Parts: sequence; C-alpha cells; structure tokens
Amino acid sequence: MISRYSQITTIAAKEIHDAFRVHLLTLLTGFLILAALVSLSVSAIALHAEYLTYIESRDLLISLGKSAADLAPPAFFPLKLLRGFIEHIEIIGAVLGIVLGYRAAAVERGHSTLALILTRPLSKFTFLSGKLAGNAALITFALAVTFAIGAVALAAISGVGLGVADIYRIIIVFGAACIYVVSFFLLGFALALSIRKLPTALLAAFAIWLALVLIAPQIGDTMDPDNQVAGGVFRTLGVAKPEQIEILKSFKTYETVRDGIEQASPAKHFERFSFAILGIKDIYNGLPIAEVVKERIVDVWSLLAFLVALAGLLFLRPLNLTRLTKE
Amino acid sequence: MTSRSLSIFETARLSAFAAIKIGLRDHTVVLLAALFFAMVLVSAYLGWSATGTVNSIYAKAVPVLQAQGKPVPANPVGDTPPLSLFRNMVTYVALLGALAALVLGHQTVAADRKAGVVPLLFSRPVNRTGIALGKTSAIILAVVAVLAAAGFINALTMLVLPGLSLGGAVWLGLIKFYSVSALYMLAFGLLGAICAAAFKTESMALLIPVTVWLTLTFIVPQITANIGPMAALNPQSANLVAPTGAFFTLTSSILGPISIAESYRYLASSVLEITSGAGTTTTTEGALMTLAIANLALAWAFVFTMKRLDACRSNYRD
Repeated sequence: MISRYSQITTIAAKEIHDAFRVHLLTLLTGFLILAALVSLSVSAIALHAEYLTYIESRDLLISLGKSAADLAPPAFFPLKLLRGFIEHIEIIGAVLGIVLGYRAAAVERGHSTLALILTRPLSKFTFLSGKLAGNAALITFALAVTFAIGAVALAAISGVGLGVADIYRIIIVFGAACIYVVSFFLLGFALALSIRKLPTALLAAFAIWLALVLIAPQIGDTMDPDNQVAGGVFRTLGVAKPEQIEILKSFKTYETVRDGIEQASPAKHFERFSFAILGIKDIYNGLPIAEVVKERIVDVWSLLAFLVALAGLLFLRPLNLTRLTKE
Repeated sequence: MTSRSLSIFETARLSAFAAIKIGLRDHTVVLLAALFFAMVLVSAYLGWSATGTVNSIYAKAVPVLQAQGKPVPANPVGDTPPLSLFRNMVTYVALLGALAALVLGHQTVAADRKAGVVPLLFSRPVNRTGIALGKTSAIILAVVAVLAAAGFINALTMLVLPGLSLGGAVWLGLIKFYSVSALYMLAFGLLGAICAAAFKTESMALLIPVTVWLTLTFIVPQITANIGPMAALNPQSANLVAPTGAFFTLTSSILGPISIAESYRYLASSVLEITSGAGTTTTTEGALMTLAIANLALAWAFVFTMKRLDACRSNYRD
C-alpha cells in the first residue's frame, strides 16, 4: 500500500509536469512579468520626467535671480516604484490563480479521469491535497520568478542597489502574494469541482474576482465623503481639519459600512499590507518592518482567513461525481 | 422538392433570431446581465447616497462656518451636474458590461459549435457572411436592450432624487452616454464571437479575450499616460495629465488609436460631465473614431473568421 504522503507528492508532481507541458503557466507568468516590467519602467520614466521638470523650474528661478529653496525636489524611494507592480499582482496574479484552479479540475473532468481516480484506494482528501500542493508550488515558483525579475529590474532601472532591508521587505510582500494567489487558486478549483458546466465555473470565478478585486474597493472609495465632490467636499466648503473630524463623527455608521465593503476585499488587504511594508504609503515610509507588520497585522489575518475559508469550502464540500462527469 | 438558397438578408434574419433565442436560454449570459443590472442599481444608490451625504455635511458645516465668522459657500450639490451621479457606471460598463458582452458574443457562436450543427449548417446552401451578419445583429440588439433597461433605471433614479434640474440636455446626455457604452460593449461582444469561431477549445476562446481586455484596461493606460491599474478604474482618471516627455508622446501617438478603453473612459466621462477634458490630448472626434474603427475592424474580422471556420469540424472541447 502506497503511503498517503507518497500519493500526495505523486499527484503534485503530475500537476507540475502537466502545467509546464500545456504552457498555460508559462504564458500567464510571462504576461504578469511583462505587466510588472511595463509598470516599473513607466513609473521610472515618469519619475525621471518629474525630475527634469524640477531641474527646469529650478534653473528658471535661479536665472530670474530668485531663490529655489522653496521648490521641493521630487522624493525618490526606489520601493515606491513597485506600486503598479503590486497592483498587477492584485489583478493579474488573481487571474493566474483562478486559471490554474480551473485547469486543475478541468483536466480531470475533460478526460473523465476524476471518477476513475476516486475509485482507486485514494481518499478525496489525498487527491485534493496533492492538487493543492502541486499548484501552490507552481504559484510560488511563478511569483518567485516575477518578484526576482522585478527586484533586479528595480535596481537596474532606479540605478540604486537594494539594501538588505529592502530585500526583506520584498520577500515579505512575496509571501503575502503567495497566500493571496493561492486563495484565488482555491476559488477557481472549488468552483470547477462544484458547477456542472466547466465554462460556467470559469465565468463564475471571474465574476467573483471582479466583485472582490475590482468592484468592492471601488465602491468603498466612491463612498468616501471627501471623494463625492471634485476637489473634496471639506476643501470646497473651507472647513478646517479639526472641524472635519468633528463633523465626520456623526457619520460613524456610514463610515463603518464603507470600511466593511473595503474590508470584504482580499485585494484591499493585500494592497494595504504591501503598500505599508514597501513604504509606498507615506505614513509607513521609513518605519521598521516589525512595527509595520504589527500595525497591519489585521491584513495578514484577513488574508489567512480568506485562504482558510476557501480551503474549508474545497475540502468539506462532498464531490458529486455524477454531476461532474463530462457532458 | 428542391431547396432554394436563402438570400444574405434572409440568412442574417434567421441567424439573428436563433442567436437571440440561444442567448436568452443561456444561464451564464442571463446571470451576467443580472449582475450588470445589480450594479446599475448600486450605481443609482451611490448617486443617491453621495447627494444625501454631501447635503448632510453641508447642513452640519453651515453653523460651524457661521460661528467662525467665515462666509458660507453655496451647497456643492447645486453645482454638481445631474449626470455625474452615475459616474460609477463608467467603471461598471468597462468591467461587467464588457465581460457580459464578451460572454454573449462567445455564446452566439459557441452554442452552434457545441451542438455540433456547424458541419450540417455549412453543408447547406447558406451564405456565411449572412450568418455572421445575423449573429452581429443579435449581439447589437442584446447590447442595446441591456443598456436601454439600464438607462431606464438611471432615468427613474434622476426623477426620484429631489433638487435635480432635468433639462433636455440632461436626457440627451444620458442617451449619448449609453450610445457610447453600446459601442464599447459591442467591440467586446464581437471579440468574444471572433474567439469562439477561431479557437478549438472553449476555455481558450474565453481566456484569450479576457487577456486582451486586461491588457486594454490595465496595461495600455499605464504605457500611454502612467495611469496605474487601480487608478484606471476611476472615471476621473480621464482627466489626469500624462507626464511630459518624448516617451509618453510617442506611446500615446502609437497606442492611442487602439486604446479603446481610454477612448471610452474619455467619452463617457465627458458626457457625464465628471471631467473637463482639460488634462488629456484626446478629442471627442478622435475617441469616437477609435471606437467606430475598432467596431468596424472587429465586425470584418468576425465575418472573415466565420468564412474560415472549418465546416468539417464539429467538436468544440471544454
């Protein structure tokens, strides 16, 4: 009798082999790397353009005999260039997870091997664990390549070598990205093992992705009272900061609902955590890693809760093989 | 008894009716359309909520400003153009509307391929151009019907909300917004239909157009104007000033003509008066031209793909 561990590693190894054979992983990872590199390069070009504008303005002031002391030079923090990179992981990384999850189920359903596998001395738990282990390894590999290329490109484009602390920060964000993308793998996989028609499962996963990754944060942002008038409602009315805080106290329920909508999005938690760790959000820039992690620990727990909830859905829901046979 | 060959128009009419019936029976299409309507209602609620919140803030700010002896400005709600209440619709059309259209276009062709009727159909004296035109007409009708219903919900919302001045220009603006949205959604409907006719598997036929949509929505705006992926969802981004420099001048002139997502955002935001358009180099005519050319090119590509569809192949795998 083959041990459960051996069964899991065999299934995981087959997943990895299959993923490389059909080039799906290569294509999607390539797309993610391309998007990330475009984002990094464009951010660097924009920063360079900003710097040239500053030099031009400074020289003009000096030529007019005025002081350029009040003209603030553009701030340069290399890790801030990763803003678009993180947003692409949020959007395209989630798509990578969904597609891998869909493929992991579709390949068995399409070849009608799902029922056959489960007639063998192999438990549902072992089968699902093998699939999860193989695809989690693939996702970790794909993200490791993306982050490594991103880090090298960041150093090359910015012309500033990354310090040890910077590399630690990137590794922590890489870990959060793995949890985030594996969660979307679980979503795609669970739906493709539950819904009778495979293309419907893929579209349902995309609809949930749209709602969680793109629509929920956008609704939360739109409901921000200060975003409802161009230029900000308080600025338009000329209300000072202390009075703003006082007025907003009477909108506590409204703010709770707004924050709740944003909190429902795992993408927002990944973004908030990553932006804090990398110092993209100004208030965290320069703070020690431990302090930032402590302050944003709620985002880590939320990402883990999302992962565990989807894993629970996958492992606890019974597999209806009659429903999942090929049409 | 001999069978007569149908004219291109008869073929198109029959093909359009069949495609509409199939679309109405398809749960995925209906589900996505329902989700789109739900977001139309959310957009209406957000418009109502925005008005209510700003009114409440104004009511609380007036005594504060008076106590400080400061001048009390007019309520900003009065300066807000009525159509700007629906600014979220720009995002929902660009996300859900495009995805729903893509699936609808896909289903008009995929249903025939999955049922295995393509070899039978093409063995008859039918005009393939007529079939493609019929399916295109079905996509147009479906997109127009969905958007007309969405427009009706928006119109009701405006009538219910107090304090809005609704002149002829506002209603014309609403019609213009949905006309531009129809052009945008139609482009994705045609793309879905092309991929369903061109690819061997249904998964690839869905995945490829989704990748194209991702590229147009999130990557191209970054290259042409340094608009980040998340910022691209904000209709206000149509008003962002692209960084100066040779790079952005070059990329916007090369990629601008194919950037239908940016063209749509610019046109829709201008019509809803949520942008002055001052920050862009795009013009209304240029953006309209981009959308129109994209639709014509995709329609031609769809006819071409249908003509090239292998009449001997009946299988269309998952």
